[in-house]
Amino acid sequence: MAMGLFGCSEQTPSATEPGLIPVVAETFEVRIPFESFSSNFRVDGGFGHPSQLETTIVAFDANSGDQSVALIEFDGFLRVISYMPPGGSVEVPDSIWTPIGGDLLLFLDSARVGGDEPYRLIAERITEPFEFRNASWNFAVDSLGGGVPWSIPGGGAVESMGEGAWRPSVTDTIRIPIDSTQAARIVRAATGVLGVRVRTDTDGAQIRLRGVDLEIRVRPSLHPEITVPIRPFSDRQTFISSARPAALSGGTQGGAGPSNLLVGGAPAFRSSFSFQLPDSVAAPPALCAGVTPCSVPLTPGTVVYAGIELRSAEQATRLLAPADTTILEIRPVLAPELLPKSPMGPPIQVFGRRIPPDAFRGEAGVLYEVPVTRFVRDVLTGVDFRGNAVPFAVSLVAAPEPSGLGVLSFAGPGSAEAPTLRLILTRSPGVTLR
Amino acid sequence: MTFRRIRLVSSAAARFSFRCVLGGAFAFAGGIAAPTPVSAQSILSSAAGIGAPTQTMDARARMLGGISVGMRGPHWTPTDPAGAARYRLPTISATAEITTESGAGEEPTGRTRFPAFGIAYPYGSNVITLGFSGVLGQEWESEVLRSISFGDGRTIQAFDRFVARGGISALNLGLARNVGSSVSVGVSGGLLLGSLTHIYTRELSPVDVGPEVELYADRGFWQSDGQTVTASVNWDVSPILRVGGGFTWSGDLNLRPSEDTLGEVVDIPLPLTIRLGAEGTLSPGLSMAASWSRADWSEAAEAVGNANAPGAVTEWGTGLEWGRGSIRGRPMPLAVGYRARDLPFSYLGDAVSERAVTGGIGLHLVDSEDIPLARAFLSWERGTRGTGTLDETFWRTSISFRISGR
Repeated sequence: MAMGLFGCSEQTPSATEPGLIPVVAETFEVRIPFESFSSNFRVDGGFGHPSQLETTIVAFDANSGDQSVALIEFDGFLRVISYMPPGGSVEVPDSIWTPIGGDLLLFLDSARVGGDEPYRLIAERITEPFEFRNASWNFAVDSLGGGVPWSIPGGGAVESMGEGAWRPSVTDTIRIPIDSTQAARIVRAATGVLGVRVRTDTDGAQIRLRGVDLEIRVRPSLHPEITVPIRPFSDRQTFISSARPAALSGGTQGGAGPSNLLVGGAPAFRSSFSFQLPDSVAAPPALCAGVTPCSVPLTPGTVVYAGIELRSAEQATRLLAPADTTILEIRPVLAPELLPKSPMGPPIQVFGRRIPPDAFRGEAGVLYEVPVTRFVRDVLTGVDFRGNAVPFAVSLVAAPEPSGLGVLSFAGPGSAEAPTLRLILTRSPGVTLR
Repeated sequence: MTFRRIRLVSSAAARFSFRCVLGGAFAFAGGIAAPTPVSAQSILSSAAGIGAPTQTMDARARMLGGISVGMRGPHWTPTDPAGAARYRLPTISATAEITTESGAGEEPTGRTRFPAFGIAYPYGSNVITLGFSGVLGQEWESEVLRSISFGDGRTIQAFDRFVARGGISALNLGLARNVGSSVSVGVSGGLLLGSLTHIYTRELSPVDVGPEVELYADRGFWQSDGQTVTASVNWDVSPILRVGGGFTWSGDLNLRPSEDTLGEVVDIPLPLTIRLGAEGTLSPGLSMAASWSRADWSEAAEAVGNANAPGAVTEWGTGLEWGRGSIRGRPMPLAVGYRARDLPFSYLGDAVSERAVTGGIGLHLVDSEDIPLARAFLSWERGTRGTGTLDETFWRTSISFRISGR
């Protein structure tokens, strides 16, 4: 038994002597321009809707005039109220009551806010029906084949409800009082659904609306000496924005023509292209016995690192500069012919690439690299480690999608800052006995 | 800037550990254990050429200074097939070695090997033998941290590693018999089997390059085949002196590359090894043994491009055995010895030689009259190996069993 235990201690003699390594390997770096390693570039938008997000963004940029406004949808009020009369012990129902005023409470994120305080927040009653799940800046109902435009882009015709100034350093809640006239209109409108728009006109403001509460005070007909608060059944929020990425302002989504490489937003953008790697790449003359120009075959085993270099592009408006870190994922497109509705495979990188917001606040041209080594090796091999055929097309997407108001905008093909594929290759003559 | 490496236990290493444990357990149980083809290897010996010749003697021969032929008493070793001629009962012999070695100021390395395993079966006036033993062994690695410049001022760290593993074994079928009362002869022949794997890897620093940097690897694998014949003769000149001689002839060792390995078949001419040895009684209870061997490895070294190889190398050893020791009535011989050898391949252009002081004990566990039924031998070696500028020391413990029965 002792011998058996001895057998477990295996240690290989090891040296740190370069002369014992009979292989002379060369490691070098090459950069391949976007046009040389890709094809079928396209940008598609419209994935997801702001209503899927946890928070609602209210923002304004005076330079561009773009803004993002919150749309809040309240369900109706009970027609019969119930209250405890003075001196009574049993609640009394009453269907005849008179609104005398109310409050709209806005709960705001005071930790993450942009711009200079105080912020002016304006609440307005939307007078046109809309579908909060698909409403956009131009359409109250933005469904395929049945779009209903706003009479005025950005929420249609509205009636003022009130306004308030917000100082994040003081509070995270703002109360907008509602007078009796507006309260009466709200209650009347509430026979169906009440829509409220919240906007700001403070330059640079980017405010997160975490929640709302609407309270209307009414006077019952049987006991006019008291007031009773009533609330709508429920509420929902979304936001719509007038801002569009620069490269798409005059172009088409998913169409031909130069475009920045866009990722994220709400609704979100995706940028897609197909890998079309060259058969060979330029190499140091040492690998060709001093002969120039020297090129070597691009084979899976030689690629020890591959990364797509992306450079931030100038934003058309401050509204679209991401306010938070965005996770960028590269996902294989399983059926490129079905783009933009192709199913996608799991992300090439398990955790994605975290892109901080700083790159899109200052000068353009900040470099970000997304590693794609294993995918490039698979593309060169033609199959993945399971033996399945590798899709050559990929989409750059934000995770989760939609990601928020901000859009990652990188210089696209045709520009001097276009993406490049950085490869680090290692080659050796191989292992021989002599 | 430095980077840390995460080392993965290779499947080969895992397989080997399993094999050692299994082999050790079998050896202990006296069962059929497949000997591993390589003997203890160090960086100085096995990193040169195609490795070091495996010393296949058993623990008794080793404690006497590495006697390769002419040892008294019935025994089986791959280098002395005639030694089995005096077996009168079927016998199994097995040897295990545990070796640790270290260079100056370096962490010691160690391993367990089973250099030889044999069966002797008397049939009529002959003894048929079947043996499996090591011939050549190579197991080492070299690791180097380099800085690679991209030419624009940027440098990255790269960790280069070269691993060589492999061994050539001999599977031999032999015949031994006595010629008259004082001479025994033996011959065995068989196949050379084994393989050689060389792996080169380069790992770039993820700190310098990025988080998804992959390993670069080149691998070479060669399957070996060849033939070998060993013959020996022992002559009891008198009741107190035995002399012996023998040789091993081998054809070319053919190393055939796998499909994904570069190069053609490499034919390595293995040398003819000549051996002489003797053991005699100096005084009652005290005997002395000595042996010498020589082989010319010039052509083999040339075939593998080993520069400044020493060419013809010799190996000799001598030892004294005191046979009057006993424990609880069982004979317990004690021995001390010394041996020296030159290794056939140079290490980075320098010839390597090895010296060792040896010693050990034997245990005659069960004897039936004058027929040994169960014997065990335990030997120790303390040696040095060096090129003149580079030295390493080693400890080796060997244990052998000979079990006989009807």
